[in-house]
Amino acid sequence: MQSWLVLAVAAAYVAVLFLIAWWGDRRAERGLPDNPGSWMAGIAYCLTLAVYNTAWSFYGSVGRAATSGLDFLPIYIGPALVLIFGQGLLRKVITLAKAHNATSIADFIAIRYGKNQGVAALVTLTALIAVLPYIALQLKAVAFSFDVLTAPGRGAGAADLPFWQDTAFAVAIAMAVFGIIFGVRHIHASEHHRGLMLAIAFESLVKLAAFSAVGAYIVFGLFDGIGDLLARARADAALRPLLDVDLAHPTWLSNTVIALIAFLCLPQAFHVAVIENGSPRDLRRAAWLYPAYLLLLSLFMVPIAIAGLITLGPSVNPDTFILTLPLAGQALDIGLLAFIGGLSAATGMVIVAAVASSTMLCNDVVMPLLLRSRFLGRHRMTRDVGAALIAIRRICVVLVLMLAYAMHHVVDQRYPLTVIGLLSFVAIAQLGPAFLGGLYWRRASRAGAIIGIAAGIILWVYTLLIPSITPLLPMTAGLINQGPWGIAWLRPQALFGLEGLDPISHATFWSLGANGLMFVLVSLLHRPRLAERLQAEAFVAAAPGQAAPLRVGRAVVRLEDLRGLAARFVGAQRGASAFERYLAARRDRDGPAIGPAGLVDADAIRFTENLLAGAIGAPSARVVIAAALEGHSLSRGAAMAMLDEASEALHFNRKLLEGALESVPQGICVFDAELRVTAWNGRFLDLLDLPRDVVRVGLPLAELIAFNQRRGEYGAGDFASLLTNRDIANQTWPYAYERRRPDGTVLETVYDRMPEGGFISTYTDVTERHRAAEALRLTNESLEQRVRERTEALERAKAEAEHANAGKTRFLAAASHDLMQPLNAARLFLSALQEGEGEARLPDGARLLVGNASAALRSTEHLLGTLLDISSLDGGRVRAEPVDVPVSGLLSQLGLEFSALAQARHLILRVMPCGLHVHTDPNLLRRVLQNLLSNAIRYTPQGRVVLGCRRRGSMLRIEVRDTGIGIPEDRQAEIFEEFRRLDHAAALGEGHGLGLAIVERIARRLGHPIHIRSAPGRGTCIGISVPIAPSPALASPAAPPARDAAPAGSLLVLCLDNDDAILRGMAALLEGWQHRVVPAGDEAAALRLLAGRIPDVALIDYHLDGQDNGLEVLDRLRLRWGRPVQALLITADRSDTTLAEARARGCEVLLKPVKPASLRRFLTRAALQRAGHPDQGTPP
Amino acid sequence: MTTRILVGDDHPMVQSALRTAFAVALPEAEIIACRTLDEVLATLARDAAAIDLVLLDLNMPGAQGFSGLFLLLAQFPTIPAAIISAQEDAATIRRAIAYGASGFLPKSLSLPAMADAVRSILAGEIWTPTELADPADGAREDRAIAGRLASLSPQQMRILMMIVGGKLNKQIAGELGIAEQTVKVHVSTILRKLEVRSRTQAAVLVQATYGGLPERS
Repeated sequence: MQSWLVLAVAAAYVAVLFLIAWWGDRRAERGLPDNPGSWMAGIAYCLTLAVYNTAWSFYGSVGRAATSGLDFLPIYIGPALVLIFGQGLLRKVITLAKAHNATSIADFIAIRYGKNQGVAALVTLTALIAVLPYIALQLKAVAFSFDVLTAPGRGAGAADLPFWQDTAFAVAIAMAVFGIIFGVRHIHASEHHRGLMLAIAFESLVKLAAFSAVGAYIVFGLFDGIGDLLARARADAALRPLLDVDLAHPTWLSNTVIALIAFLCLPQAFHVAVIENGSPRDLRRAAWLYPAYLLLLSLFMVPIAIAGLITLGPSVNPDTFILTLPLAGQALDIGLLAFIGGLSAATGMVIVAAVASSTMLCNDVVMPLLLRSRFLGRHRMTRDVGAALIAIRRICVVLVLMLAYAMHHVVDQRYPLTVIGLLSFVAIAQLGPAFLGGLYWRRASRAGAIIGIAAGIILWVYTLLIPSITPLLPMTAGLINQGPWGIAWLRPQALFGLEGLDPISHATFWSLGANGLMFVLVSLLHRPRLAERLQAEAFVAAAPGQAAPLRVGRAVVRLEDLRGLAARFVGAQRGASAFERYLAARRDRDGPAIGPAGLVDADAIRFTENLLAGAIGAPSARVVIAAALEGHSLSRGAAMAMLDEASEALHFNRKLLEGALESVPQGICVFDAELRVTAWNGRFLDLLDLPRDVVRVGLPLAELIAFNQRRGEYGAGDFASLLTNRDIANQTWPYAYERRRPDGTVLETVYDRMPEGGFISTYTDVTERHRAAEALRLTNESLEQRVRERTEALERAKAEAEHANAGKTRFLAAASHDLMQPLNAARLFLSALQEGEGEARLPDGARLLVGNASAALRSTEHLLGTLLDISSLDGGRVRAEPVDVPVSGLLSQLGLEFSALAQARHLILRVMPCGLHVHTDPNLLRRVLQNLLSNAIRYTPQGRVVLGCRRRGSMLRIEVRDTGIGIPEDRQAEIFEEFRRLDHAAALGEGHGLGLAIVERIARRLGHPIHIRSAPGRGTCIGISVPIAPSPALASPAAPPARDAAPAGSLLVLCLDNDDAILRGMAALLEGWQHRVVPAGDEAAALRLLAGRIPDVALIDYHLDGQDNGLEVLDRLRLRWGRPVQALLITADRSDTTLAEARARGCEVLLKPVKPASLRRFLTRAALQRAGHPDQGTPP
Repeated sequence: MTTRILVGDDHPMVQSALRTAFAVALPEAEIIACRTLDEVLATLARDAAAIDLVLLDLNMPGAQGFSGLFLLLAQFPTIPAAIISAQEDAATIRRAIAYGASGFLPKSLSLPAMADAVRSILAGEIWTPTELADPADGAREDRAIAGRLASLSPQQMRILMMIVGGKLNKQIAGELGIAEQTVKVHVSTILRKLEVRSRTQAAVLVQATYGGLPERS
């Protein structure tokens, strides 16, 4: 076939690619939606995934099938497994990558390990090492396919041609151009490349169609279908092994593992699967679409291989069967189709791999270097970095392709495609432990990742790369065969004596094994840094940042600075629009709004970092932001730390606060300074019964209140108080109030200010507390009510009892009194009988009877008298009138009183003297002692009775001791009861058993305790304790006596009579009555003798010497005294006129001879009147 | 010379017994018996000078407690009046003396003692059955009240007793045959003399003097 034709077709194909890519980008630029998640998008996503199926699949798999049958399959099984069973993993990777704006696999892994530039660079280089042979493989495939097509017999000898005639070079150049145009259009590497992806999808379609068509031609055109071929193979002993499948062979496992990892970690695969993913739904569709694609592709592999081996024999490179078979069949057009298919498979991979690698190189190798260098110096980054970045990336594309081309030249032309591919796969598989471990293992650390990858790569080089380049470097042959320094167990392909494995499995085992081991060991030994731990948490927990409701209040940069920084790195327009969107989002969201010139917080910095990460990768972005912050009073280290801390603070704070907020039993709602909802917990919604969709970040409090008001949440008072208490200025904090919700629950709401504006409200359900308090209050009330009722009942009962008692007392008193009258009368009659002359006339027997009757009456009278006493005491009519009295007088009087009685009974009565005073009612006390003494005498047959005192502290115990019959101890309480006489005492005499009852009552009334001490047969001692009063003589010698100085009722009496004898008699009489008398014969003598005193009473004789009568003298004297002194006119004149005259003057009249009783009576009244009005009638 | 003794006691048997007893023990005495206070007062009003001694039972009709004593004291200041009573507790005796009684004769007194007592009283002695430690002792309050009561005129005393009996001014005026206005004047004078503010207080004051005495129902 003419090479120009092939070239033309190839060129035309590439032109179509350009056209499709251009059309795709145009669509995207016009903003036409490409419906992520739609069927078309799903198919397109699936087709882009098919970038995995490169020329290696197209040519090499047939070659592999020709040598080892179905062994090519693991390369496809790996990806199918990932898609079918690894949906969760893929979804997680995609979510994380999007959240962190990851631009590449290197970026992604570096982000996981603390956005570390070292990790990023290592991963990039590893990926590059892996991908370069892979690209070279594609170039080689294109080159030899071209050669095969144009010069079928010549074989592959393109290496001899100068590069400008080399098809591979042309392809490389074309792909570079394509990649530059469609792959590196934007600085934002994390964005979708719609045109590029469309072209890739197209290519995948083409390669499948071409392969299927060619396969169909070979299987059905040259042979009679698959069955025919399989039959032939079975017939041929050389071919039969191809149909055998040995799943236990290590190749299956190792190839599956590395394919699995490669499908995830190959730069181009990661790019199409993760970076370019539009929707999770696409991923789900791909789960079965892509395996189906692989199945279609694999369908003809073995038949073609068999067909090739049958038709062409083993001399032809089996990798070329797909081309050589149609050519052998003289089907040039089919051959051309096969070439186009191979070309599409190769170009698709080359383009995406070049673009992805260039991004990685640029972001993770070149940028860090530039950032370190003067090129983008710390503060002098004034130039538009974006343009430079694009340029760098484009250079990288060319660089990668040229390197690959160079490698293609270097690598042995005859090396099977599959082996080169697997070499790449093993290399890329070194990223597996770090990648997968980072996703699921918190402890996975940066050091572990670096050391693991490095170890893996070293072993890869040693066990796989060096042996594979032996044909180029013969000096290594010795190493391969004998081992270094002849140490056999270090032979690269039989390390530690592990022989019998194919080189790929061997290398996979050792490199991946060492990698994984080191990764785990170092991770376990190495303590990860803070930033790493945070990222580890983010990756493993897969909780990428949503809106973080709270921020640390750190601001070191102006927003303007950040905006400028972003514009430099992502372009002015893009940066500006990104910031607009961000600010708008923040306005709608929560938190303090920030103006363009305002200081920024950690959130804004985080945003900017993320924005930059999309362009230059997260590690570089971190460095750039740190550099920007640096100088704002921050060292770079501090700035880095701050970024990490901000991130930590964001994440940690959010999680901590979320956890804390949700775990408290109170409802919590936080408002910002503009009274908009900032944060809340579920309990808040529950307590206030708020629908979840109502409360959102940024909801103004006013709306919340309005909402509550609409549904009748507040009582009128509540609402008013709510409003008044929104007056923040006049607020006391914290402000707490309780409100009753319509459903009856009571919420205690506490508002308090937040340190940076805004306030926090906590809601506690205090319904139970209120119920308890209410119950308590009710209980209390009912208790009080009961107490009141009981008290009333008691008072009623008491009143009734008192009434009854009073009634009884009254009845007793009245009965006694009325009984007393006839008794008295009877006794008087008897007395008259005994006393008068009549007695002598009585016969002796009658006289005795009269005496007995008189005694009986006397006894009855005494009993009734005592009863009266008791009723008086019980009725409360006896008042105790305590005074201070000397006890001696009382005792001696009693001694006198009872001595006769004691003598009559032949008892010795002794009274012990005592000089103390006591404070008591002497009359009542005397009654007590009288009763005690009479009892003692009555119940003492012989011996003595002693009346004495004992001092007991402030009390004087007055005791009556006898040697009488005594009282048993168990009956001592009874003796104070009425009519209680102990049996043995009753025999002794005439007592009524009332004496001690009276004693007890009086003692109670006086408040004096009674003591009793007694033993039967040995006597009794009963005492009463009386408070001791200070002896007047000792306490205050000058103090006036307790009663009036003058004898009671002592009056100054003027006696006016002209008869001297009468005057003397009168004076003697009056002085006998304790009055002071001024006897005078006439008026002048009276005045003289009075000496200015005014008498209380004037006794005036009517008939005086001279002309005046007594009344006239009285008139003059009263006039002189200035007051109507009481006067008594003494006269023998019984005439009514004199009487009337005296009465007219308010003067009483006493007729002569004067009756002393009448005079006394008059003076008593005068004395009383003076006592009632002591201010009148006293001497001046 | 006959001694006329007016005995105010509503109990006929007591009256008769006293008359018999005095006939034996005090042959020189003539007993005039009265059943009510009004009768006593009427008898005295007829010829006060003819009566040598009034023996007054406590609680006779028309008088509660010592009110009879107060009335007699006010109206007939020169007629000796002693209490004769079945009650003989010291408090009552002391109070009776404090209120100006000329003596206190328990009815249980033996006949010769009673004769002696009457003679002593007629001789000007204030007689009580037991020697009072000091008649004034502990009775200053009683004496003060008695003094205030003693300062009332006979008419005022009568009106006071009616007030204590719960009578209205109109009723008092009707019974005494004086104008209601006059009663009012008297009442205000009584209140002033007793140093109380209201009729109720006045009644309480008087009733306080009955303390310890059985009420007559």
